[in-house]
Amino acid sequence: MKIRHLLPFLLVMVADCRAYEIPRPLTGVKAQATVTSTDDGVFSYKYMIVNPSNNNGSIASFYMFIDQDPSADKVSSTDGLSQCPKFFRVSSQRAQKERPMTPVGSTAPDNWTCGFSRLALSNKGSFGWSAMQDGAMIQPGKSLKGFSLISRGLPAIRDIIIEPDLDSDQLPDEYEGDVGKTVALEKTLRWTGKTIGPRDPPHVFIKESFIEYFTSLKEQSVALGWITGSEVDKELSAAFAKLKTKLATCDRSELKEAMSEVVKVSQRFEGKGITAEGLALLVFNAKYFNSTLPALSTAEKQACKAR
Amino acid sequence: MKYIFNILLLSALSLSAIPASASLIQHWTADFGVVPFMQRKTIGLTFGSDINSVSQTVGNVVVSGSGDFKIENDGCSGASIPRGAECFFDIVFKPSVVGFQEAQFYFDWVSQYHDPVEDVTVPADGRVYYHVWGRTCGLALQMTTAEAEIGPDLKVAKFDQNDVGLISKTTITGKVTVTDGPPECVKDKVIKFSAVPIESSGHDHAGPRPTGKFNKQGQCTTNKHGVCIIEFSAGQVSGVERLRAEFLEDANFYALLNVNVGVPGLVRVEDVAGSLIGTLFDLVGWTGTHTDNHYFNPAYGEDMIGIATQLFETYQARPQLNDMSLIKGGLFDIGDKNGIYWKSPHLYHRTGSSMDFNHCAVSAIVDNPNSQNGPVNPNPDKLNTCPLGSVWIFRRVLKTICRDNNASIVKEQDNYHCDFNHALGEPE
Repeated sequence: MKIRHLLPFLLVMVADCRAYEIPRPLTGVKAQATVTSTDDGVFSYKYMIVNPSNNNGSIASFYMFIDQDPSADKVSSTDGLSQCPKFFRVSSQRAQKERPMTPVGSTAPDNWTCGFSRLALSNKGSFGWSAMQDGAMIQPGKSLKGFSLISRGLPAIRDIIIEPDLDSDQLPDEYEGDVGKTVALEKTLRWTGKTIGPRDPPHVFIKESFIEYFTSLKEQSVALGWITGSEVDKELSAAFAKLKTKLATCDRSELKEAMSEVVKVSQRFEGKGITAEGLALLVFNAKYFNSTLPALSTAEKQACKAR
Repeated sequence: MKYIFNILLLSALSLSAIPASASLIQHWTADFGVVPFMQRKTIGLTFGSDINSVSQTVGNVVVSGSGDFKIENDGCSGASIPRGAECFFDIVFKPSVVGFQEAQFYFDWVSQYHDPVEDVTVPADGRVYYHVWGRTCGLALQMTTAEAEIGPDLKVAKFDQNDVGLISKTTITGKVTVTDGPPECVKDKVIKFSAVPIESSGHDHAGPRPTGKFNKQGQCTTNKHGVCIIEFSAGQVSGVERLRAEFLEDANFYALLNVNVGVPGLVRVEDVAGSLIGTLFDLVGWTGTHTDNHYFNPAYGEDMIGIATQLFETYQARPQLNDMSLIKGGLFDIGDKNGIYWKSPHLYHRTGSSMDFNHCAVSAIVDNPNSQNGPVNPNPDKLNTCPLGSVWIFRRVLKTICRDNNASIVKEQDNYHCDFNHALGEPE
């Protein structure tokens, strides 16, 4: 009888004394994004983070670089952009002061913080979310929604960092007081990838430059697996080829029509070769192009007449 | 050193025409040269009986002149020396004053001398004078340092000295000058160096502490200009170290020099944060041995305040700012973790880039909605509860806030440790 009474206690002791297991590097993480927009040009970027079951570390933070090029990007309005309940106001003010970033509002899952961030050793600003409690972290085999950015910035391809929880206080003694070793370990554990996030539109709209950028978005989407399949590739390639031929046309409607064709092709393959990320990149940037493309200038009109 | 002079005293008597009962006076000289102050130099003398002396008796050696010359190992005074034998004695010069000194010795002898030519034995006597002299150089010793202030050694604690650009070495020059004597006196003098701590900049421990070290086993030898150079490397502890240079041959000649060891420019939190202390955060962690534990590099001031402010806003509670650096930085806790001096919970805290926070923050409001105990911790030694009126700071939150302010948190016993030297960057 005595042994039976002691058994649970011993089991508890064994559990308490086990050595801390450093998580393996995160692999196979997904940051799935969907984008919607309102009529007044505000985009809502919603993210779901998926932690595959083959990982043994819980996801504790998620950073996205949302740097802005002050010389090229138009600073969009912050009107109506609110932040998550646990927004890091002070840190964010400092980060925004020191590093130009696309203005965003945010939401966060329960018990997650959010805020603009200055990751040290990087000159780019970022926006990040961090779990506030053990129970808030994303366990292996689980996913979590609720991360979002609200912005007038157009969908763009952004770098992200997703980190597992690492309890530095539980690390072996060799890590005590050793910042370099600890940071080196953290770097090996984190997952880096790309998703879509907001980027302010160009300060000066030049249609040729934008088409070049737009084409690069398509090519990167193919490389990232957001556009897959020979059929969609064939049709999109044809639409982009037509778009380029219409760049020099004197009829703006022809150019806009060519851009709309890209949208139509993209929407036709939604979920059948084009992911939500690829679709958002192509559709919203195409719509921005068509809505922003100015009428022919006097000089262009004269040039067209001369032809 | 011992010099041997063989003095066959009666060799002169082997000359013919020595009259019976004649007295022979002989003079000998010996130059001891330059002898260091209070050092001994010995000249050994041999008094030999001539082969033709039937017997020979030596009187007592009589000394006059400087008292720094002395007879030792006297085997001659009063000795009866058989034919062809010898006796020995030493003259020792141990100068107790600087400059030139001389002395005179003599002893008498009597002999029965056998004249081989006449084949008669005749009485003979004589006196031998020894005129000896020597000198001690008057020397002065000076010591200078290329740097009056150097940084503590940081590398021992897994710290890259290059990160902070602290030079922890200085060149020490010992220079000997002549106050009395020829210029060449300054050459080949061996100077011995040592260091002792006289102040420890925030350490109020009793007992010894590590000091800096010299290369060349702490000794160098002067060149013809009287100069020798040695390198002093600071130890890990900041403070003031008194260097001493002394002649190896005579520790009474020495020079002293203070070298300041420390991280320059550290400031006290109280002087920077002012009224924020007690409203935005609290200072804690003073101990009897570390009474000045809140010094830091002002370059991190804005980051430090940023962290404290963000913590306050997040938890509506005042974070408890614990150990930072001592007045001049350097090793915070001396010795290994289980070492002979003091316990060592933290290896950093040396350059004003570290700040510790208690796990619990003191709530600034009643019924703080953030109040909670800490997370379940597999380490049973750790207490993860906060007292009433305080709030547990979640490690991940502090990590994020530190990172947002150019810092990282690392493992440390008992507290959270936030450090401003390294942090994560963007994807490569």
